[in-house]
Amino acid sequence: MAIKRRHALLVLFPRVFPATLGVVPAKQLKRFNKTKSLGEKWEDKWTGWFLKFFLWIFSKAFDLSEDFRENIKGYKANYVFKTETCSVVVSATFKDGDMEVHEGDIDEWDAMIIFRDAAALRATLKSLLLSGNLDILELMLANKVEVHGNVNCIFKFIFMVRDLTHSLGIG
Amino acid sequence: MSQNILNDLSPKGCNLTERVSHLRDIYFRAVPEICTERPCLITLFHLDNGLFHKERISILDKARAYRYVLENRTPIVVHSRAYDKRMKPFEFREAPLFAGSTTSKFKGVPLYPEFIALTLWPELLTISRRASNPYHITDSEAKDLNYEIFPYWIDTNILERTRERYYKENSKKVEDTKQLSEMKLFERLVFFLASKPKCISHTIPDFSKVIKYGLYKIIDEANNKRDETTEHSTREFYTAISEVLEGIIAYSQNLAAKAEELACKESDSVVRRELRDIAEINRRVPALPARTFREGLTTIWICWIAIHLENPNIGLSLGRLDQVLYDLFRQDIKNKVITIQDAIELICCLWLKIGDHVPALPETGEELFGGTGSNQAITIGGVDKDGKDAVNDLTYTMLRATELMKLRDPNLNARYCQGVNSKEYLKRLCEVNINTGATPAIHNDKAVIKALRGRRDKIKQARDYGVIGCVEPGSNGRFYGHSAAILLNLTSALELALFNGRHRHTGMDKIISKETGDPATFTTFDEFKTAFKKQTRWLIGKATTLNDNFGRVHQDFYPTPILSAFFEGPMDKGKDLIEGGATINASGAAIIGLADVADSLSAIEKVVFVDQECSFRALLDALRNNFKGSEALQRRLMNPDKTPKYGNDEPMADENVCWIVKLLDKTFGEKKNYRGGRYRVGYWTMTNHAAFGRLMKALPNGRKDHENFTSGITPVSGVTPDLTKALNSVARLPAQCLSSGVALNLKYTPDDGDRMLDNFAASIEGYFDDNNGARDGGMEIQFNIINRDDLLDAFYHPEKEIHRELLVRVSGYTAYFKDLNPRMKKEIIDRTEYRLSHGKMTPFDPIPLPKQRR
Repeated sequence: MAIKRRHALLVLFPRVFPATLGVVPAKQLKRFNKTKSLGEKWEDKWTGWFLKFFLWIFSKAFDLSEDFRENIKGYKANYVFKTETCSVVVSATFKDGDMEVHEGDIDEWDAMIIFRDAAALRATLKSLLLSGNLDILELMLANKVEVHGNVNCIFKFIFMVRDLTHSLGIG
Repeated sequence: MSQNILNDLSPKGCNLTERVSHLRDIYFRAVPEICTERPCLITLFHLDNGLFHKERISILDKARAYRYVLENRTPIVVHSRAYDKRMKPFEFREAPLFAGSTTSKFKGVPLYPEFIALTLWPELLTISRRASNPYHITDSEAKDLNYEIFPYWIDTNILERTRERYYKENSKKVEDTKQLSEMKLFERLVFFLASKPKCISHTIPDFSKVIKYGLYKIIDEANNKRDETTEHSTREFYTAISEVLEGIIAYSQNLAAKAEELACKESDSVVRRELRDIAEINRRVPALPARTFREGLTTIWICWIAIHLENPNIGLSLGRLDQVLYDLFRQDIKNKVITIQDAIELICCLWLKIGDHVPALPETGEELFGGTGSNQAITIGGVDKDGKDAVNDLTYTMLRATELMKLRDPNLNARYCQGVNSKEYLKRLCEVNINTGATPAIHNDKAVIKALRGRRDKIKQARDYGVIGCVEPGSNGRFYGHSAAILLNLTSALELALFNGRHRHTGMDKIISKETGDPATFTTFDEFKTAFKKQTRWLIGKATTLNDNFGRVHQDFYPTPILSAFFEGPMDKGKDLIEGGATINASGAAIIGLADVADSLSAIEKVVFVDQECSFRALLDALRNNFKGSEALQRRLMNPDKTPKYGNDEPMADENVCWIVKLLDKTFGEKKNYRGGRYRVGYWTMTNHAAFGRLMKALPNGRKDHENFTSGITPVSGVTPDLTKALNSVARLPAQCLSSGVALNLKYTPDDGDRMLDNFAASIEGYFDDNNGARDGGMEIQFNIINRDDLLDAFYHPEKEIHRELLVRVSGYTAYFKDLNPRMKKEIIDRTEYRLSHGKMTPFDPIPLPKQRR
């Protein structure tokens, strides 16, 4: 059952992939364009979509499941996910029992996760989707991730991701 | 004073009773279970009393919180259920001699949301299935933690309060900052670890007062002192002491009532009588003075539970129990109230109770540091405050209990004073080591007392030292030294010196510390030593600043009335332990990677500057490439015949290691901590030498990327073929620079001839000897007396039942081999093994480095 669900999610993934979701602010992209090959730029863009899609699914889960929504009842926090070069920057806001996903950075964040590069971000998301596994301390040890701000917010976030993947039969 | 009633010092006629064997079997069968009782009660109290929103939590607030917890926790007299490794419940009928437990579970994982319990948050749904040391948790407990407990502590645990106060970030600051703050260095894990976010611990309370006078008397003292002063904070302190002690008495009374209730329902007359005994004892102590050995043990146990409820048990230690309890023991034996066999049964039951919990560690923590108990040290033997022989019959009785039980906790430490303690006693310590394979650790009184005197402890205070956590000496019940406050990765200082302020783990594009020059341009070894010295001083500055900042946050949000009540100093000064109330104040730093750094310095001196066989640039290139293409150079660096190695009695190597310990002692010693005490330095590593080793790249001593570092103060494995020379090198180090203790880990081949015991004792005598003042003598030594083949079998076949209880000495504490992470297992397997019959190393081929999880 779990395998079937996972398979369905992966098959569904490219179909609902919102190709129009650009996530890199133009200013940052300009700086970044100077040093990256076309292939790398495409990979970064793809990764940004991937991340935003993942967070979008996550936010929808709160809408769809009352039980899952219980996790963010009264929870207020801002998260930023980005790569070191800012090729990918996505933020998520939890407020009033709701989750919103935005493109770009925000000034007042509680937790910021900086991935060494797009590959590290992809590997993290892949691990999450395939096994429900995200060990932030392990990623920090491997120097693939830098964490800023309140690390407890990150622990809570990982729990919620695992809660979701768990209920989807992943991991 | 030495007392001998025992005819047989072993005493071999005494064995495990049926009760203890049964309890011990359950202990090994049960997996740890997460306990939500304490976090639930403490969170409720904080909510009801508005403590989450206070800008400062007073000692009285905290005292009331702990009283609330003590009065409202479930009094458990008898456990009847636990979970096995398949997470299946099993029932049993426990018949303990002591009531109460640190958690509500048979073997619990206590959680402290004020500290690092939230690191378990991501794992709440998976923790019972994780590969390393899983914990049982019920769905409702996971829900309680997720919804009702953890959310309140997101911004209010010690780590976040410290970050908010001292290291608040915003987008601008993150973008602009190139130099990493000490908090960021800590979070990068590769520079140093700080213990304060996870505990106020690593100290020894004083139990002699409560045993002698009882808590009512101490409450009276506190009330009288309160009434004598008008100063608000002092009055608040004494009121807080009364509050928590009343709470402890209430808890013991609740246990007594529960035991009585169970006795009334019990049909078995023997069990009924035992429950009534428990009820009677707990009704009396710790409120009133203990009259018997068992009441003395119960007093300690109940107070110990209370201390755990206040603070996570990471190195909280029980001190010199053979001294504290000796009068009661002697009187009971003399009056035939108990026999030696009875005493051993009581001690065994207490040992099991002491091990009734394990520290909470997240999965990565288990991979890095897994296998550790809570390192509750007990100290036996040595000399008394007047310098006289303190080894007594209780010392031998405790040794026998330890020999029979072979448990990880408590961590037994034996003191030995040459010329004062008997040689029979030393031989007995060796015999217990042979029979258990790993315990007790043995401490040299003369060197330790000299080290403590060097830090200005008074002579009677120094003589009355107990061992804290792993190996750290501290005057019993009066020294608050938080001896594990900082765990410093010394190889990071070397790394920064080698790469001009950069670190290969964090990226060579970033300058982390100060630029101390490109070593390739250095023309003398002294220039490199200067660079290393500057980087070391910088790193120590960062580590101590962070520790002090955490300490100040403790002062505002984590007062410790319970620990303060059981300490010499706070009651006189009217001041909390963490405000500097203790008689002796200090902070401790443990150094990781000493031997690797020392050998690296010697390699640079010899190969680059003396022999000029290789340029510094070529050496740096070899390090960057992990010696790929430079295999000949690596062999040269590793070869003890060509490159001086610490542990071979060679002047160059020994001078370098001596220079390092002096540098560290001076630099740390110059720092005054937030309580007004000085920093003390120790060389014990727990499992951090494997954990830090995993993160670090190749070093000039020939060590390759990610290989383990060497433990404690031990010379690097495999390069010190001669036991005597190895011991001499260590014994030559100045004791005064090692005042926070050392762990010298040695592995001896078991069953090594008829004279094994004599040779064993002789090796310790030789190592401890000060050669008529020519040196200080070694401070501490600990052993694994296990065949390499047995360890290999346990490594490759952990599922075998015979390996379930295999006890090994890590670096400071003992652990069950099966619980250790693969890297740590390798480190123990690959330690130099000496044959005592000829004092030479047994050659071995290191096993391959286990693969990392990711």
